Amino acid sequence: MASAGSGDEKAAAAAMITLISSDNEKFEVTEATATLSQTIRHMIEDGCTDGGVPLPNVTSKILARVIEYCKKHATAAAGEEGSSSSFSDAAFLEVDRAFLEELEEFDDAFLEVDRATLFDLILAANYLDIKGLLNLTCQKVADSVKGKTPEQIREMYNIVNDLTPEEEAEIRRETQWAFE
Amino acid sequence: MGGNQKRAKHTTPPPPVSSATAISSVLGNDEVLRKILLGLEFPTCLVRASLVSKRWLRHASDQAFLRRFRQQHPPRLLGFYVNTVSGGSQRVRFVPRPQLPPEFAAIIRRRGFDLPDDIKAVTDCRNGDLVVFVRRNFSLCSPLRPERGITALPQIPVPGTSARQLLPEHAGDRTAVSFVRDDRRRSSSSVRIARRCLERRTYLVPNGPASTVEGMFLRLARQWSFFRITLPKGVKFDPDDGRNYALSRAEGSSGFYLIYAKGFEIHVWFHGTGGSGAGNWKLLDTICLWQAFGHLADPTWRSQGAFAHVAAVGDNADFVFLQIQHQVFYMHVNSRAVEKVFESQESEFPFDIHPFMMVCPPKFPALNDNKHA
Repeated sequence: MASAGSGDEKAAAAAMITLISSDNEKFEVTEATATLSQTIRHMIEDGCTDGGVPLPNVTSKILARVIEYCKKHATAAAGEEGSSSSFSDAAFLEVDRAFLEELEEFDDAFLEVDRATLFDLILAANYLDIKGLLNLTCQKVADSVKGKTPEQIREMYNIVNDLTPEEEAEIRRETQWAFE
Repeated sequence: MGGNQKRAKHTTPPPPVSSATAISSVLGNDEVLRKILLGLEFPTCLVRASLVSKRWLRHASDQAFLRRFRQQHPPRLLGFYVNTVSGGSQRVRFVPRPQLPPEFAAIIRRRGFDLPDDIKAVTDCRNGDLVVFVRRNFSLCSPLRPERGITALPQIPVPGTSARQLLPEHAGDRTAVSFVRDDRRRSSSSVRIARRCLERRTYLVPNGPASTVEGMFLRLARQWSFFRITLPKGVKFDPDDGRNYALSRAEGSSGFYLIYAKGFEIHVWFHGTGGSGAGNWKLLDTICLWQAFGHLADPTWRSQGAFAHVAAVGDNADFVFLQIQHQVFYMHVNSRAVEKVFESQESEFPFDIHPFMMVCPPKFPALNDNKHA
């Protein structure tokens, strides 16, 4: 991945993109990093990134984290593109596996955030359309819901129960095996 | 921020939200909520989450969503029912799969999958339902829903026939199909009688030659058609054993698999039926059991002339249960991972094994207008 990545980065070095957070902080990133966001990719394609890309609904604190994620995964994406054609190459797969493990460790560490940050990251990932980050953060929320009762989930996320007692009873009757 | 903004390039984004409202913005976004629900992995978790609110229920029970959920989290093997016969007495027991995830181990612990003593055999198992033989009649029972009790199926009033009770995938809740083979007839044109008696449809077909497989159950899904296909080259029905191959359905009724045991070699065949029985066999995989079993293989098998019976096959030929002498092994076909799952000296006949898969996706009762045909 190292060799494939460096070529990509060289090309991208010429094209730096400036992202501007809601609190007016500027972040310089490579195009390879920025285009992990489909939203920004479309802006670049349309040539509307001169003078920076304002992201008025992403704070500098969250944007910094998002960029951290994109930087790491942009290198991974470059590596993947190179490897897909040589799937049978065992040595290459070995390198790939080591890198994927490293990436997994990075993702795990990346998710060590408080709940408010996690949900802000989801909003940013959704707005910027960064598929990997959205999947990762949504899975973290899903994991927090696993094994919980409906009452616990409601309490955890402050959701009002608007099911009628009859509806609730009906579902519980049909799916009793999931409760108790 | 709705999902429709994702592709719109120049819309004005909403102002930043405070952390306090971030949660409700995230969970209020349909697309994001579905992504979260999709990540719940276990049908039990999905069912519990569906009871959070009307909105969560609507998304969790949506048919398109449930199809995706099943695709990402295919039904898992919880264990199997095994019929044993000894001294003329039959016995059925449930054997849970070792090392189940806690979510599933808890279901087995709570529900108690063991059947009442008067149930003498299980003849089919699908979608969480079992067809069982109890007090000289076939009945339906649902270990996940014991409150439903045991429902007797109507008798088959066709003398001189042998019947197999099957649970087709899409026939509807609590519908069993009787596949009745008329052993007195060997004509090539298939006689088919479809009787709809409440929860059962009966098909009568003539007995075919041993060189063919009868593929009706595979197509029961939607078309209720019957076909007969010649076995692939090199696959021979062994009348002494009768257990040297077994069929398995392919997802979406696109065809079916045949797993064939030849000594200690397993062949995986696929037949794309295209719905009519036309098409060709294709050999997909050959597995050497000595290799796959590794240290689980007993060196005396060779000297004792043992061989592998195909006791059961999972849908999509995902896994196979193999009986060798008095032991039963589970093998995951793709990964070749093998576990020993059962051993008993008490059966005179080959074990009759019926894998029990966790129901996935879960079935939600239709509350309002979201009932689908």
